[in-house]
Order: sequence, then C-alpha cells, then structure tokens
Amino acid sequence: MNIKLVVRVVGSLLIVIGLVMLTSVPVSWVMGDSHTVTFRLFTSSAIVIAFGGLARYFARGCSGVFGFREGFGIVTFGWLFASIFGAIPFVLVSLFKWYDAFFETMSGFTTTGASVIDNTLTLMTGATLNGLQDIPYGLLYWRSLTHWLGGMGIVVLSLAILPSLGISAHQLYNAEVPGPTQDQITPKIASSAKILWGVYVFLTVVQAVLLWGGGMSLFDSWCTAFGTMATGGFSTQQASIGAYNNIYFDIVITFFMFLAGANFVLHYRFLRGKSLFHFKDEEFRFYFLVTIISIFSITLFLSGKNIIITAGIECIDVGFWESLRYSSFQVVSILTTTGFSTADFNLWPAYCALLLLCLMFVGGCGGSTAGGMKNSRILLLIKYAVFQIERRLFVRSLPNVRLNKHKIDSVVLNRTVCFFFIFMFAFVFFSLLLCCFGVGDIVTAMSASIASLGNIGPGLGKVGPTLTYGWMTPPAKIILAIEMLLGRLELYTVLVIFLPTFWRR
Amino acid sequence: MNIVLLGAGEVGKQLAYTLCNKDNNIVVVDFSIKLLNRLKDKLDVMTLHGDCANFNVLADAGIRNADLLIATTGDDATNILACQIAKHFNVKKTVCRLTSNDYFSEKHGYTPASLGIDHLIFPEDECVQRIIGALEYDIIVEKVAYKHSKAQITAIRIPRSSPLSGIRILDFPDPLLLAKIRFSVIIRDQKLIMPHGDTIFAVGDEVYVAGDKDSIDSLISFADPHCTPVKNIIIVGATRIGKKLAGRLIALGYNVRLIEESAKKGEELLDELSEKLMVINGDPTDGDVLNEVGVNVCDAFISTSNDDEENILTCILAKKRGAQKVITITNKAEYVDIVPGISGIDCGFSPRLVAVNSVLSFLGTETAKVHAILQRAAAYVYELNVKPSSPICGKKISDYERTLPVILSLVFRDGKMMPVTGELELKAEDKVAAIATPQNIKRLEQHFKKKKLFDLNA
Repeated sequence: MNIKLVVRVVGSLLIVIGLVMLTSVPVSWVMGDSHTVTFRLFTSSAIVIAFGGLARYFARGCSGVFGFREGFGIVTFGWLFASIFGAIPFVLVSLFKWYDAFFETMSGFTTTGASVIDNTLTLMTGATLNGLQDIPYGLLYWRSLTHWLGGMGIVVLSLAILPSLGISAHQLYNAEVPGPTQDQITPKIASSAKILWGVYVFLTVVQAVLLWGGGMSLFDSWCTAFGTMATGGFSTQQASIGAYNNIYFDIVITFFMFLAGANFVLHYRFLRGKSLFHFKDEEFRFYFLVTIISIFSITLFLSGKNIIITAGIECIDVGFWESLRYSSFQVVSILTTTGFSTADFNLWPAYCALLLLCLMFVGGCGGSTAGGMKNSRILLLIKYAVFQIERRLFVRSLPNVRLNKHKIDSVVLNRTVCFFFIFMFAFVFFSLLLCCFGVGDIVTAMSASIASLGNIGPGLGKVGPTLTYGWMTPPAKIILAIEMLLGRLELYTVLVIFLPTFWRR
Repeated sequence: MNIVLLGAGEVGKQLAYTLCNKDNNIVVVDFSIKLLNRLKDKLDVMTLHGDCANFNVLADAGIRNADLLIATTGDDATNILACQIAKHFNVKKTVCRLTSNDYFSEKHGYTPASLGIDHLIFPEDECVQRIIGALEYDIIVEKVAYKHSKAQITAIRIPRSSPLSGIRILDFPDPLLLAKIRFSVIIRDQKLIMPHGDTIFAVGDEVYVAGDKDSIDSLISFADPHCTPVKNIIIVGATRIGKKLAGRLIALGYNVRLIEESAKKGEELLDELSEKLMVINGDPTDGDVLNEVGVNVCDAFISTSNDDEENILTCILAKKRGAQKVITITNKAEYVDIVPGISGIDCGFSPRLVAVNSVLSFLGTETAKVHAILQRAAAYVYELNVKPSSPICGKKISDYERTLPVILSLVFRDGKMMPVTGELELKAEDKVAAIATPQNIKRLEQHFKKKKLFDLNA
C-alpha cells in the first residue's frame, strides 16, 4: 500500500471535516452559547484543520495511482481518523472522557445514533452530566452534523468536492457506498457523487422546512432533519422524538426516514420526472412490503395494550389509530436503522420487540444512507436459497437468481452469502465480547451488538430506547465503536486491512 | 432479372437453387471459395470470391445493373452495409437478413429505409413464430398464418382413435363447420393427395385445413377430444433460435426448461434473457439429463442445436422416453426432406427454408407469389391475384374447380376473408391462396393469367 498517498488523502479529508466543523462556530454564537464554548469549538476546528494540513505537508509531493489497497486504506482510515478528530469538540467543550467522545463521534459518523449522554455520564472532571440539556447548542449541532456527513459518506462528499480525488475514484466509491451492487448514474464518479449529495441536501432542506413550518424550533428542525436523512438517530431531546408528542412531526419524520432508507438513485430518477419509478425496483418493492407487513402486524398486537411513550406519559388501552401511529414510527425508524423513538418498545409484547430486533438485521436498501444487511441482500439470499432447494431436484441446473430482471453473477452471490456469514459471525462474536466486558444480560449484549453493527442505535434491555450506552465499561464502548465502523463500511472494506498481504503487496 | 446474392451458406444456397431459372442472372458473392465452387458445380450462376461489404467487390459483381440484392450472410453488419452500397448504385430492391429488429427505431426515425434496405427478413424470428404456431395444440404439425387476418392454414395429424378417422368428407357430422373450412391437401405416406368429397380420413394423415382460427380450433377439438393445450416445454440448445424461442414462450406463459451442454453458453443465455428460465447443464443425449429435466412429463420437446444429426437423434431419444410431441430444427437441405419420414419426430422446421420463404414472398410474378413453403411436403402456399382478364374471373368455384389441379383454400376480398363455398363467385382483385407443388403451379397460374394467343404452355 502506498501509505504516503493514503496519508495525503486522509489529510485532505480532515481539512474538509475541520471546515465543516467551523460552521458550528456561528451556530453556537447565534444560539447564545457562552463565549468560551464558541471559542473552544473554533479551537477544535483549528486543530483538525491543522492536523489535516500537517498530514498533507508530510506526504507532499507524492503521487501515484489508486489501487484497491489505497482505496480501502483511504476509506477505512479516513473514517477512523474522522471519528478520532471529530471527537475533539466533545472533549474540549463538554469535557467528555476520550472514549465517550470517540464512541459518540463514531456513532455520529456511522449514523448509528447510539449515545452515551444521559444523567449518569461522568466527565473528565469527575462531575456528572445532567443529560442533553447540559450540552451547548454548538456541540449539539456538531453532533447532528456528524450524522449528516456520515450518511451519504464522507469520502463520497470528498469525491464530490475535491477534484484531485477524481482519478480511479471507483475504488473509493465502491468501498463506501452500501449495497451488493452499485449502479452508476453518470459516466464520471465525481458527478454521480455530486448528484447523490444534491438529492440528499434537497431532501434534508425539504424536511427541515416542513418540520419548522409545523412548529418545531428552527434549530431542532435542522438537527432532526440531519438525523433523519442520514438515518442517524441523534435527537436534540433526551426523550428523542417522543418528547415533542406531536402527530405531525411523527408523520413527517416517518416519511423522510422511509425515503432515506431507499436507494437515492431512485429518488434522483423520480426527481428527474420518472413518476412511479420507485415501484419498478424490486428491492424497493420488497422494502415497502417488509415495512407494511411489520407495521400492521405490530399494530394489531399493540391494539388494546398500554404504551409508554419516551417522554414518560402512559397511554392506556390504545386504539387502532394510536397503535398505528407508534408502531409505524417505530418500525420505520428501526428498519431504516435510524433509531429515533417515540414509544418505549422495550416494554412491548415479545412478538413486537423481537420483530423489531429482526428488522435491525434487514436494514434499508442498497445505495441509501441506512445500515443493516440491506434489503437487496436479504432478497438475493432468499432467492438463492430457493434456487439451492430447487437444485436438490435439478442437480445440473445453472444458477439463475434475478434482481430487477437481471441475472446476478455467481461472484456477487457468493460475496453476498459470505457477507451474511461474516455479519452473523461478527454479531455473535461481539455479543460474546460484550459479555466479557461488563454487560450483564443476554438480551442487552445481543441487541447492543446488532444495534451497533447495523447502525441502528437503541436496542433492547438496558440499551432500550429510553436508556443510553453511558453505563458501559470503556472496553465495551470501544468494541461497539469498532462494530459501528464495520457495519457502516459493510465489513469487507475494514476487514481487508487485517490481511497481511494488504500491507505487503 | 439480375440478382446479386451475398452469402453462399445454407440460406444463400437454397435461394440460388430456387431463383436459378432461365429468366434470372445470378451472381453469388462469398468469402469461402469452397462453398462457391460447390454451388458453381450444380447451378448456372456466376460466383465471386470476396468480402460482401466491400465496395469494389460489389462493383465487380455487377451491382450497377442489378435489379435485386439479397444480403444473406450470417453477419448483420455486413448485410446492412451491403444494402447501403447497393442503394448507392440504385439497385431497385434490397433484401437484408438480420437476426433482430433492434437495429432500428421507428420512434427516432431510424428506419430500415434510411439505411437503404427495402425488405427485412428475420429467418430466426419467423422460424420461432412457425414453431410456436405448431405448439398450440398437440395434433398441429404446422401452421401458416396470415398477418392482419384470422385466416390460417393448419396441418393436423389425425391421432389414433380420433373421431375423424374413417369419416368421408361429405359425411362430416357438422355441416356448418364444414362450410367454414376447406380441406386443402392431405399427406398420406409422404404423398400429396387432393381431397374431394369421397376422400376418407385415415389415422396418421396430415391434413391441411384452411379457414379462420375459431373454426379450425373447433375442428381440432373434434378430431382430438382429449387434446390438452401444450404447457410444459423443453428446449435443447442455447442457440439463437433456442434463445428466442425460450424468451417468446416464457412471455406467452409456457413453462419452459432448457438443456445446454456448455455451461458458459448457458450462463450467457441467462445473462441475455430477462425472463426466469431453468437451464439444465448437461448432454441432451444423456438419459439422466433427460430424466432430470422431466422429458417424460413434457408436452413438447424442441431440439434447436446447430448440429442436425444431434437434433434428430436427441428428438428420437426424447420421444422414446415419453415426450409428447417432439420438434426438430434442421439446417441441411437434404435433411428437410427426410424429417417427415422419421416416425419418432412429429414436426421439423428448417430456418433456412423459412429464410428462403421470406425472400420469395417479396418476389413472384404479377399473378402468383409464394406465401409459405410447407415444411412437411415439397409444396408451397401460393397467393394468386385474380385479374379482370383472368379466365377464372367471374366464375363460380363449384363450376370451375374440376378443371383446377389444386384446391382453392382461401379467398380474400378487400383484405377480408371470404367463406369459400361452391357458390362463391371470384371477382377481380380477389386474392386466392392455394397449396400447390412447383410442378402444378404453372398449370394453376394459367387460369389467372390473361390468355395469350400463341401460348406454348396452354
């Protein structure tokens, strides 16, 4: 691997992140944070930019062609260093311990939305935080912004704005954009990246305006839009979206979460005037079906039960419509791996809670901002399984698995099957590891593991929607942060770093 | 007529044989000296060795004075280019053989005419169409359809214990149905018989019936009361025809499986096709493979590989193993004649014959032209035009029929099908369809031509 080249590109990446971080300074100033907070935010950005500049300086003058190795190296280390340097404001402004800050930032960039911030979190000074209300606005903004940057991908963002990365950009693009296969919209990757970001920005603005128009404060509506379109899950309220207890907000956020979980190429084609284009896509139809079936089965189960919403209010003996309201929000939030919550689904009947846990494995669509295994992979696996069963009878038949009428190459099929294996293996392995490092019960360990690997955020048990990850031991937090990175970059990109031949050539 | 024929392959050879007569001067161009020499030994044609898409070669072939260019090489691009060159020399008519219609788009104004092509022929497509026609019912062995009309000429083989066997045509139990259809030709023991009122149907007869689709369907359900529509189909070979056939049949709702010996070709087929198709990778002459694909429960078995011998043997094997109806593709002209005589094979189709067929349907004289070449016998479906000066014009069919060597099967007036009964009076501008052999078409044509004063043939 050409290490100097990787260092140089990661340096550029850090400069981009530092510049974006700088926008939190005016936000902090306008929202009326104390001057020390604003100044420390400025210092943080300066540090990030300086480190980026230094990296570029040390690796100056190097040139070369991107190979597979450099592509994987840039994406993996880019994300890792983005999370390390993105954590600086948490340490400087709110005096987080380094691992808490790292966990929070990694959770932000990978759009997981798992938080450590609650009223038990101890800071560097030994004092305890009172929860989200203690976090200054500038930092809250940066926290939501990490989601938004990570959602469409920081490397894809860099591809869109840095022309120097344009050469051999395929390596980078394929290493970061989720899904088993990527379809390209334009001949140039850089222009494809621009288009995807354009759609992303457009949808975010529309959602923020809709929320603001519905009565949410301007600051909250932007932060919520960032969290929604990135399928992140950080909210500005400790009780998440349930704190507003507003049907209009629930509907708008559900709708946009659903959009964010679908392939952005479809949105682009739709915006270009191809109406009903979404339903021509097999993956989208599957995604839609999974959503509808889950919502209605949970709605039926919940009708007549008591629901406790995250703000602490208890609704007794809910009717169909109220049940539909909470179940649809929760299903879409979990399936798209956003992780917002309006109701405490940890207390729901076993069927509902377990179904939500299963949906965590499925995730959104390929080419979206969502995590999980992706609907297209599940669909491919189902079809491949049917084929393998059929093959017991027709031993000599050729594999004929089709997605959108196109035959899927057996190379892709094998990679998908292997992806499933690694995903499940990682899930089990990290669950075990969590139990070694202080997680006391099985439900919590397993749900925390999948909630991080699938980039969802809240799980069940002690990491339920009303609780946080703040109580976990430092090693457990680091393990979960690694899981988030693995999940966001879809395993292969990160795992390839651990091959000896990756470094040796 | 001066004809330039490009390609001396099976299609070119057939065309040369068919078109070579005292009126036509034919120049055949091909890349292969061997093929050209073989042709020259048999026929009175000029041959030229060279690239069919080469301007100078075509100029040498005398394209300046040609009336007709037929581009039938196996390469689409060569054929299209040759037609363009021909139009540059103002050749009156160009015929281009293509494998698919995807080269053109009406919507974008990119038509064959803009490339200098007057007529397109798609031998593979038409052959596939013919095969599909024969698949509709079990007892159909061939079907000749007419575009823009429900009229058709269908050949059915009378199965064992059929109510139709042993029946005299005059005693046909449903006189209303009998009035709507015409029994045109019967093939018995590979001999052509002209049916008349006293003819008695026998088991194994192949009967060509003309009429509209509904009447023929009711005849079929009478002839074979237990007949079930074909549903499960097995195709052998991922060839161009196999590929097209599979795609079309799946779209029509048939249940299709395909056997291909080469895994690579099978994969390519699946990549190209947008339908879900089961491809079994194995040797079609291997009993295990045939069992796996379910040959004993299939309604139709179609062998479309490029090897004629393998096709014939595979079909016989499939029939032995219980395939309901087996259909083979043959390319060699020599085999086309023997396939109807093989008892294990129900139908045979020759893409080359179909190609010749498509070219011939553009040619023809003022009074007669070939509509279709029959695959089961050496006979043609002719289309004849009634002129005001024709001897047959204004006559009732029943009065005239005895003097004709063949049976008039269909009559079209203003593009509409007329019921052909003895009472029908033929008028000018009527189009008449009849099945005839090349020998008796001359005699038939006399009745449509203007009587000449000193006609040697009369």
